[in-house]
Amino acid sequence: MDAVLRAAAIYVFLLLVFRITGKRSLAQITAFDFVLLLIVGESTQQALLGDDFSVINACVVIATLMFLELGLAYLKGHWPRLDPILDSTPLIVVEDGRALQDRMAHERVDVSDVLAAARERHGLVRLDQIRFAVLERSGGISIVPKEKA
Amino acid sequence: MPERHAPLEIDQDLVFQRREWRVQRVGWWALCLFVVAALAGVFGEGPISRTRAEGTGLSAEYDRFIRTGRPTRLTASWSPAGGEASLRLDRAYFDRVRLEQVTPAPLQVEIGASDVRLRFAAGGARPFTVVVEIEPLGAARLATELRTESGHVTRIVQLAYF
Repeated sequence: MDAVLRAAAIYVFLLLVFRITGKRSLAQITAFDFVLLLIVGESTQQALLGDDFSVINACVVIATLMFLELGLAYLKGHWPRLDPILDSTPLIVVEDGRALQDRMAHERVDVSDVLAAARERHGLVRLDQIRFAVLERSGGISIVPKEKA
Repeated sequence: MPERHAPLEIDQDLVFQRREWRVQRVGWWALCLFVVAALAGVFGEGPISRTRAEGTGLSAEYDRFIRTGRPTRLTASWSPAGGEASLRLDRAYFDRVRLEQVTPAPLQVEIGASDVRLRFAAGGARPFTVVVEIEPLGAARLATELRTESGHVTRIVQLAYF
């Protein structure tokens, strides 16, 4: 029972923290963000397993996490209103080459983040070459170049 | 309501998004409070957590907030009349913690139906001080009366986090 409660508590806490910190918290923008995510994983490991390092305990923890994930997916399927609450919604941050500063500030995205995504995926060099930049629910930025939209 | 933003087929919902930003701002303060509370000792090991209980002739220093899997120290001081001292803890308390270490080492530990008695040789300096290191076995509100051989009593209450 202990392992199930531990896994559930950590799952709910992580869900809350990552929803509070916003879409970009999981986006691995810099190398340090990646290191931070590793540290979060490392910190939760001990709390998930406690002092029981048996295989069955690990199996119980994994099964609980997967069950919670499946359960939430099922609930989102049945109640579509739950979907944005748990996973947020996509947000247009650049429209017709114009940066929507208010939205970008709220989501802690700047023009250089958008231009980096535009360079990496489409070889674009200027903001006015972008028709849409969308901050996805995953925290990534997807780019629609002007000529493609 | 989600809006389809032509020509993009995405469910952008600005009303929901603004509400989300407001909730996130509140969440940031909650997160900040959580960290400040942790620094203050609300989750154990801090100035709010460490406290002192003064009973009749017996004082105890302990943590109000303790954590499962994390040992904590309970220090009891009193002045025994003779060369032998004993400290009793409630059995219900003892059953919910792991006794890690007792300093000085007790001469005897008697586990009774209602309490646990630790007996010590108490020659030397007064007051006589015993340090009991315990670890909670699970989330619980732990309470016990500490009683000495001469009837000194003090009560401690601890909250053990999961």
